[in-house]
Amino acid sequence: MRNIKAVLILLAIASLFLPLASAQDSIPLTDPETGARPWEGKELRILNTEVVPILAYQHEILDPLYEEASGVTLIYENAAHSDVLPRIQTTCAAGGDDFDIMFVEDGWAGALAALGCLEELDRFYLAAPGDSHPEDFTTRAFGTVAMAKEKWVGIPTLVAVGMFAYRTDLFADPDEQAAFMEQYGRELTVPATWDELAEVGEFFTRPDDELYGFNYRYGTPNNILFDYMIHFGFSRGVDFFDSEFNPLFDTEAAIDTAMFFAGQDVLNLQPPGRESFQFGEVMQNFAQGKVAMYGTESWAIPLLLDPEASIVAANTGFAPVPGWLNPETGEIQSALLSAGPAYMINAHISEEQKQIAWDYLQLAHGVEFSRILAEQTGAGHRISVLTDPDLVAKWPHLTANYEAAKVGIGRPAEPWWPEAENAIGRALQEVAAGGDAATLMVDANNDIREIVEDAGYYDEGLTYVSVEQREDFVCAKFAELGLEHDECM
Amino acid sequence: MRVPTSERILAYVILIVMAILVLVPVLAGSITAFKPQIIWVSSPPTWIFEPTLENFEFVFFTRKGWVYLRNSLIISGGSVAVALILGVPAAYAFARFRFRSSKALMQWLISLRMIPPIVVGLPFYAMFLYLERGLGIGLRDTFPGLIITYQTFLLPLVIWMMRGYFAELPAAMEESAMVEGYTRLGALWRVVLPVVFPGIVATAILNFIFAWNEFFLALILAGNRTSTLPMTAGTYIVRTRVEWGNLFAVNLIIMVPVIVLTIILRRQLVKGLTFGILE
Amino acid sequence: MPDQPFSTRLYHLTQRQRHWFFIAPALIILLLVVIYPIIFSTGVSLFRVTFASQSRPFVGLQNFERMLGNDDFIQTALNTLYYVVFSVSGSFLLGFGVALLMRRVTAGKELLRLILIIPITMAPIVVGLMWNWMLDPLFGLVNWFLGLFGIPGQTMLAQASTARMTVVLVDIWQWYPLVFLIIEAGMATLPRAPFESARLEGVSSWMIFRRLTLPMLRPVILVALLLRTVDAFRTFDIVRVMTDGGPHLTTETLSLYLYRTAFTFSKLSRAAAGSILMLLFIGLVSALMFRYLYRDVEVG
Repeated sequence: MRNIKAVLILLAIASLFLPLASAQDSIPLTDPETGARPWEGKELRILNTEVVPILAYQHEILDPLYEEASGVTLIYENAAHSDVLPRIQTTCAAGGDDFDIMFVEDGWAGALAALGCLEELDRFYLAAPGDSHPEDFTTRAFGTVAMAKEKWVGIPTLVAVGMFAYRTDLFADPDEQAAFMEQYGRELTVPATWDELAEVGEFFTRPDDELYGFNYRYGTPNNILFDYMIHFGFSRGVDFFDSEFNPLFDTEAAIDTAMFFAGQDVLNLQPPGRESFQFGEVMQNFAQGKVAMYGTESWAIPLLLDPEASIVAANTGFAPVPGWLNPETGEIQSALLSAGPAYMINAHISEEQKQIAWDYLQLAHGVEFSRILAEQTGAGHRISVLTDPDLVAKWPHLTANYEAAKVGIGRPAEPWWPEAENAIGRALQEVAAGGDAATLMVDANNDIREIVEDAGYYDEGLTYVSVEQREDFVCAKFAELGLEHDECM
Repeated sequence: MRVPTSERILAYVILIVMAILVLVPVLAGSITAFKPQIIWVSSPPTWIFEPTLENFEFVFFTRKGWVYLRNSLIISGGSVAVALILGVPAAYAFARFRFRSSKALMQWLISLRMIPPIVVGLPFYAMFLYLERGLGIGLRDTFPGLIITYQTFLLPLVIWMMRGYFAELPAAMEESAMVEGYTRLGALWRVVLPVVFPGIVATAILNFIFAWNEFFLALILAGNRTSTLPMTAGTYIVRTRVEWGNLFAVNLIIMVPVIVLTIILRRQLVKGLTFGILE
Repeated sequence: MPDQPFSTRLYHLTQRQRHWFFIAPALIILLLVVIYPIIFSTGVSLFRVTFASQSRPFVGLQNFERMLGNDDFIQTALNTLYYVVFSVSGSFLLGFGVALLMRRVTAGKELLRLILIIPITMAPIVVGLMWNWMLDPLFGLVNWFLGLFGIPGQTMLAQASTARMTVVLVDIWQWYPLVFLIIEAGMATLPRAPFESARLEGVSSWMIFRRLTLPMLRPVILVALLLRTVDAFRTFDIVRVMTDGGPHLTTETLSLYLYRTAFTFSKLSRAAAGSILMLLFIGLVSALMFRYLYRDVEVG
């Protein structure tokens, strides 16, 4: 129903702009139905990093479709993940036009917007919305991934929300169930709280059989912060900053979480090498059947469900992320981070290249293509996909993804965030190496305060852009574009 | 020198172990480049398999390895050519003319090797930025820009090595040529250079290896148009997995030309690597 | 002289200074690509400059103060020193040993030497990636090999306690052949007579080594140490690909830290200040070595 409503509204809006658009000599767009290919023979250069699986599946499945529809050749330049931000910053600061579209993680948007190299998308949308449908994302996701403060600069390539994957065959095995019952005096169930996670993890940790309880990412400052926040921190009530932009990593909750997540008890239930594991290793461990449970994000779905990539694809189940049992209220708290990269247009390229870039974004990352991707891989990030009855019937986890995308909290995207993220991530790694959590977290907190202060945030009247404020930005932007969104009502 | 047999056997054993320690990682890694994807990662390692070239195909065509190979060749070749054009005459002067500052200058040239690339790379980036913004001269992500930057480590080495080759020649050579009516430049060009040509080749090859393996300056100053091979090796470490087969295919493409050049050059290698300080 | 015509004096002047015609082009380029950047860096380090900054206020020595007061800078400087000390001494001892052993072999010498020098010709980034593969905790060859002897899987690069030494070992693996080549070349130039007479007098080989070989090789040894030291100071590529500075800050070198400060965190002027400090640091260490070196070696 919502789809139909959205389409009707869009049609109405589009019709308003029709005379205007034709008067402007409307921008020609790739149109698979009419077969119009105005950019035939052109090239589009994308600075990319082949990071999470969903991107690889997108390129494999959707790019040929786009190239066929448009006649445009896509040229990827893949950089190592840690090289991408330096590459974009150095190129942008020089006003370089050597790529048209860039891969921008949500935490980087502030730094790049400050450089003035993110092209705002409003005018392209107003002239020719195509299949872009920005209102097809939750406001939380759109505010985090596609916007730099109040500016709309990208179309999300994916929206990552926390997920919990587990081995259905192990949990359903009667022998395992009996053994667990004998050992712990309760039913073997997929863990719902941190304590249960540790208990079930201990049960499945059998180094002699090359099986371990679970595994998380501790390998890089960026990775460790993600898992700390997504899978533990938020549920314990940890946040990044208060409204005055004071960092909150020295709170009791933050320190407790660090002691649990990076403590030796939890580390011991993970495969050897865990201190250096990044995205790839933890995913590979699960896909090769070496761990029983895997705290991950929705971008892993395509690979986890792909029998060619995972030997346990047929035995993979998804559950809510285990939460923190609040001793006062007795309820299980859990909350999630939603984040992701968006493809953004380089502001320093020629007008024609910008038009081609928009054409690519609206079609290759539009509603129709997203649906194709979800059908084939089980991963989606647009509301229309996450709530589609047929798709939900095929992939039940989409509903949980949708709920998470509605409440997910995003990373700050201030210009100095990459540095702050590095400071707290390093401290967490040091905790995992056996350091004292309390001292390290307080020190890191002070470092972040200094970074924020250095950037002039305490004395120049700049304030923290909270998650709610971001939603306001999104709703204001949608209103400006003449779009309606349920969450903005 | 006469060496007791037991000592000799011990020496052989240790040296052969050292050689194995070199060869095993290099060879075991390299054969991964010929493994099909399914056995890139396996424990215990798979030694017997049907070799495939699909990794090379992927790296070379799908991932545009040939473009990076071309870039690497242009940048390394170009910067060596420039270093030779500038460095050979200077080396000749240092070898032939006695002048007051000559020793101090040569020492200064060695000291340039101490300068860490970050000290040069950062201001270079900033300078390119100002040139581009202020004067509209784009050098970042261009071949000339990188070729100029590479002179920081190539030019001193060329001067030091070539000075050694010139010094080995008797001065009488040009003098008699000059008596016959050649100018000094003419004598250098017609008489001296043909004789030191093998030295020039050795210098060029060694400098080419240095430029070929360079990573740091390229990381900062190269871009889409000029990415070099070493820059692309890291892109096969993706969050999903490390594509070992593809990675080692790139590694081989970087490694093999250099090893071949090394075999050609082995006798000259020390002189170059030590800046000729040993003479 | 004064009564010579101007043109003659000019001719003599150009004859006396003719070397500059040969040297000037190279010198100008070197001043441009080395000296100017250092001056430029020093200038930038006195201001506050980021990628995005519109204004560039003068801040005096603040960037230097902040760098020196920064735990991470101090930690990475100490890490760098650790690399220098262990990588240089390790590669030196190993290289020297191999050079001595090499004198004792005859057949296959060329081939052995050729194999041993392969590592120096490889790009450090390739070496790092290759050893990552060797050391992989799950399927790496090293653990497979240890497993044959019943030694459980090691995770050298993951542990803060072993990561730094592991990177140093890989660095030694790559660079000891350089020491070997230098020492071997040095040994080839030693005169034979003193050794032969010592041997005739029945001096033990150990005493010959201590009293004759070592002192006579001193200049060569210093060259090897100097080259290894300046190279170890700027370690970047190998760490970048093997650990990227982790776990936490245990393997991060100054070069890597300054690269990150400048290009990831956009603090260009602070990184410039750090790089000047680093240059002074290296200059100091090398100056001490140079003084030793030039006491006995005639250079140039």
